[in-house]
Amino acid sequence: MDFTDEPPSKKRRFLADHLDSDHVVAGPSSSPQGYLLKDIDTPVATPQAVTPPVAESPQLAFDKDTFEAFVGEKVAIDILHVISKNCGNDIERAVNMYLDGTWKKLHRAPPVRVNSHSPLVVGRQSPKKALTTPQQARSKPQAGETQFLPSMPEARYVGAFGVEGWATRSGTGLLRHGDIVKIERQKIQPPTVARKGQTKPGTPQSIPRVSAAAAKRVDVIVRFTDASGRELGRLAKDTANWVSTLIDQKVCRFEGICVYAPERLRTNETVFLQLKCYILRSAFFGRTVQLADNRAAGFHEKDETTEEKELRLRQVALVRLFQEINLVPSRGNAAAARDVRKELLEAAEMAEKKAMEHKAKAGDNNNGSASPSEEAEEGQELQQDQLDALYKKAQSFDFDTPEAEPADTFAMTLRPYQKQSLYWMLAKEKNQRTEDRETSMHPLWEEYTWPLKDHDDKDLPVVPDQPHFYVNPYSGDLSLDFPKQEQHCLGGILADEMGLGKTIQMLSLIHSHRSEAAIKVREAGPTSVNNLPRLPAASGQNTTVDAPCTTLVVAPMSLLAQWQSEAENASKEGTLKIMMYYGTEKNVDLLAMCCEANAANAPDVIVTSYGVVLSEFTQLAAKNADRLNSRGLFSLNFFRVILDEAHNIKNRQAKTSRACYEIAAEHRWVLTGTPIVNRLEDLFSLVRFLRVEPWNNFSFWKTFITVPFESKNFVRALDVVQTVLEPLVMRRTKGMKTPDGQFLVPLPPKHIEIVDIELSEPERAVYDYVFKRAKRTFFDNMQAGTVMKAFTSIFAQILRLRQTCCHPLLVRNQEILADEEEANMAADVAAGLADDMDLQSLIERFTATTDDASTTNNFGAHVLKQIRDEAVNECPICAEEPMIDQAVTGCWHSACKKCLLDYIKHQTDRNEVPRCFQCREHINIRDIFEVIRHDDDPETPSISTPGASPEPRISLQRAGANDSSAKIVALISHLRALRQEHPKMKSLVISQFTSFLTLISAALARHKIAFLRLDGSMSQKARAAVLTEFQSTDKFCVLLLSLKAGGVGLNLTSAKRVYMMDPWWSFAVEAQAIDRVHRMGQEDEVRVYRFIVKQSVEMRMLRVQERKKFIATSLGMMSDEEKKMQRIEDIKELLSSD
Amino acid sequence: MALPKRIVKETERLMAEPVPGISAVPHEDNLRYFDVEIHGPSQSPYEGGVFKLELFLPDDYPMTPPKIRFLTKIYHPNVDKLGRICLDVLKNNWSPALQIRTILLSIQALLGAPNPDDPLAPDVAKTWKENPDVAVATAREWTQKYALPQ
Repeated sequence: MDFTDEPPSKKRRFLADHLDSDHVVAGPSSSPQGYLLKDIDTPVATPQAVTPPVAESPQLAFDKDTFEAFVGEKVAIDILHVISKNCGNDIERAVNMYLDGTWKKLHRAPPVRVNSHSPLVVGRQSPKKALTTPQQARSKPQAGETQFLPSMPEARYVGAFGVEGWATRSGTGLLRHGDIVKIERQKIQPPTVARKGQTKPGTPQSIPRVSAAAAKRVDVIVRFTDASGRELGRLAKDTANWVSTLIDQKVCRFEGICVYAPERLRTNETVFLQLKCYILRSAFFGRTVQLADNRAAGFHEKDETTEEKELRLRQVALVRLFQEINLVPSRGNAAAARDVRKELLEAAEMAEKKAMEHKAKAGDNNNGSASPSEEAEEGQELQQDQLDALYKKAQSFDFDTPEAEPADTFAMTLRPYQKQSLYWMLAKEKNQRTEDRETSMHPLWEEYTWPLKDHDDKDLPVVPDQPHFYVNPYSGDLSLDFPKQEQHCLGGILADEMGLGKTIQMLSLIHSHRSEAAIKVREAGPTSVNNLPRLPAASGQNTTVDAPCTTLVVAPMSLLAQWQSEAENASKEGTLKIMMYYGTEKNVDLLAMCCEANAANAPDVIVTSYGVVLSEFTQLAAKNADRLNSRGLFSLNFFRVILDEAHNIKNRQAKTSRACYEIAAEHRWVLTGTPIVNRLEDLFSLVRFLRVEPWNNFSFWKTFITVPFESKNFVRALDVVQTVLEPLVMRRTKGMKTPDGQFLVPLPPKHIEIVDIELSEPERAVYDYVFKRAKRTFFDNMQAGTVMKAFTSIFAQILRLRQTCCHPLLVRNQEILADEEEANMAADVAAGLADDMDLQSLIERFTATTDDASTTNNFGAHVLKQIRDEAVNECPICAEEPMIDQAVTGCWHSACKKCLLDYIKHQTDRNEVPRCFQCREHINIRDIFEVIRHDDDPETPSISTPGASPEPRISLQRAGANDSSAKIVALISHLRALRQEHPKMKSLVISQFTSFLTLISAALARHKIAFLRLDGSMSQKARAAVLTEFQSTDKFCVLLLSLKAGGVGLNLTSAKRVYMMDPWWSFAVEAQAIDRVHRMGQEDEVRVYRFIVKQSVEMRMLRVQERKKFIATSLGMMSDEEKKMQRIEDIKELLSSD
Repeated sequence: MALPKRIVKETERLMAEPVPGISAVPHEDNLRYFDVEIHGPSQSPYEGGVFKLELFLPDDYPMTPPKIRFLTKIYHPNVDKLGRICLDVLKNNWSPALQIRTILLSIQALLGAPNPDDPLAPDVAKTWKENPDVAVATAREWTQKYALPQ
């Protein structure tokens, strides 16, 4: 193929040469003129003819002649008027408006039309190929019109096919074999007017612009007329359906020859025609421009429904056409072409049906434009096996990938697989593509050969260098250019599983690939400080200033500090300037700081949060402000942008996502362990952020990924996704093995153990009470069918039930709950529960037997010594030696705690006043003290004199019946045992209830167990401080972590034990928290203890977890409604009787 | 039901370090059932006699006291015809800190110091208070008659 030797870019440059004085023209790749002009290479048609006016006017102002020269056809004066009014004197916009049809929207009032605009007559005479049709003969070229003739004729023959039609008039000799008939679209006008119009041939017909979508929905009539324009009949509906689309969308022009008609024609009689089909030149360009335009659509999502519908019609029509003229692809996915076409038709039909249903449901919902909430639901969830299959493909990591060494300013050592991804990332950024990909055809396109002979076997005119044309059956696009499989994206998705060091890999990239400007400046040394940032002359809203040295990192707030510290650790001193752009540190002029003129002092890395991006974006959008004036993130075109934990933008409708799309950068990367959380649309958002052509267009994406997928054509949809992913994604998993059988990162083993917790009797009473109540509410509502209505209340009760398992106090205390996410709904029910005297008294019973707050240690040393000495004796009651959990009475007599309590219970059960087993003093259960020995606490100094063999210190603590809730007691006993065994081990205590963490922290303090705390309510600075302290301490320490705050990103490998205090609905979320510890960098075995209350909802939650092990429903990935349905199912299971 | 550690330990100790004048041997088929022999304390009307008792440790021992009864007939104001004993530590003053050994010592002490003010056998107590010589003589007589070792 000759034309591939001449890449489009070269031609674009040709255009730019002539427009070099014009800085308004955007980058060549996005310039629609580029598309328009690059194919015009016949001498007559070169834009040189238009250069004089261009040269004269550096602004390239709007000018009728230039404009017509650009669009290549005569334009009606009223259209010109509309366009000139709206283009802001910008020829580029004018051309765009004309070609993509935008002007039509502006052009409301039905104007007087010239034929050049009629869909029938889009084609103009081509001197090369004088396809003089009756219509064209009818159109009167205006004087002074300059004819620019492209190599591709206005219309080119592709084939012919036979059709049936039926006559609409009767008469003799109206139509004979061999007669040429014109094929026209029904004029959409009141029928009477239309008829009148037709009887006057040559009269310019105006076609009022009825809403295009509406018109096409109802009207598919295609008529054929004789040479004088008189209607003879119409095409059969079946054919008309798609022929009308091709005509309306200016894809084809048809010319008919009568094959057979009865001598005496009567209305409704069948005639046979042969239709010759010509593909219009405009078909090859219009849509591409439209795509580009749509992509640039800016801050607000466009309503894509009409466009999608047109696309669907076009798809079907093209497929039908190729079937009829029996044209098969000469290259492409030809083998399966027939199947593909069939599927495509089915998919389109399905989409149509769906659209109809949707419309029917939605009523007159603004042209069927879906509201955001509906949008949020779209896209089916992937089943786990599908997701697996997809990942499997994307994960076919080639272990022979070359490695790249990081720059010498990088201070860390990379593992081999990290060097491989560095190589890959460098290649992506520098656009080093492999040879074979350069020449391979885009997998979605098909190549067709222009016929050389027509249906009568006569030679057809040939256009040199254009033996083929290309069709994308999925999108309905046509092209004359060879569609290369090209990735313009100079970045990608690093989707390594958590713990494989994505951050480190990105940092190595930051070190190893710096922009040329950055290198130059750094070599030259600091420039003059007087060198103020140079602003571009014309500042448009979308203009940005280059920040050639700077990489922008956007990460969740909890990870900001980690990014900073890792960036510092990974860089040799002074080789990387890191700036936090967050909170108060935000008050800087980023624009001045990062622009090229300040390159020497610009930060290399700016770390910011999604929140900052969103708030700056909101400000920008609200004020509709100039990007440059904001002087913030959006004023710059960064060298590189990295989104960490990029599943944060998985919802393309979310504001944060849209804000991120708008970040300008040369290289765009996303980091995520889960590129697809649970639906294919998740991936779209990433692709959109990466600006991968053409996938970043949603309708495009939808057409060949969403729709096929939803029509159960999983294999193809996933294949396509894989085509998208393959060049973009680098993903390795922890489970991957190198060819020699080694794990990428050998991780020490991890053991998960469930610890059964038995509730104390008062706790059980509270639990049973709340349980019965929740169950009654739920089943009452089930019967009444009001479950969804009462959802909040039911859910809150379940929440209370789960909290009861942790600590009965959580049920009552609204105050500590205030920071809980569910606080609002919890409060509802709490109000109900709080009024409840029965529950109240149950809880009081619990509190009466607990003593969370006080520690009693004000005893004389001799008493303590005596008690300590007694501890080695045997228990006077059970004869255990030494006593188990020594406890003392108020009269200081020791026994096992259990024996003592049993005895007191024994006495009270007989209505006796409890007395001491030794001295028969009256004793009170409140005066029983537990003896706490601090021999496991290395920090507690011994009370004995220095030098003497240290005797363990003891303290007394009121025992009551319970130390605290059963779970806390179990946790404390685990921790104390751990402290005795590993006096320096660090551990994590995780709960989803921060108020529970508060209760735990009190218990830890009582037992002198050092702890730190990290939860969502803390500021970024405080979190960072906590993480640093936890990391650096070399003592026994517990980190209390809320499940929500600890779910993502954090690196807590210094801990070796994890205590999960309460189960979450899906284990995946817990697993994520566990993986904070069990991840790369972990050197020791990790033990995980999950505290589960026996015979409670918690046990059943484990079953729920088991059931949906594979669906990640819990991190807000489903719509609210879906989530609720799912929860109802769960709750039903939780409350059902065993 | 496994024998609680406490009972095992007590039994072992009774075997290993027997109290002078007292023996307690568990039945082989029921380790909670003991055959007890207590020697009458010297300088008491019971001197020279060996009194047999039965002792049973209930399930909730040591929360509840052992059940204990004289098998040998004895003339004593605090022991009734059926051999039941009136002793505070076997009733209200029981404490789990008490053991078989201490209880048996208490019974031995009771033989040495009858307490007619808190009688179980009212007629015996009456005689003991009104006519102590007759009572002591009767006790001695009974001891000779019923409690001489065979």
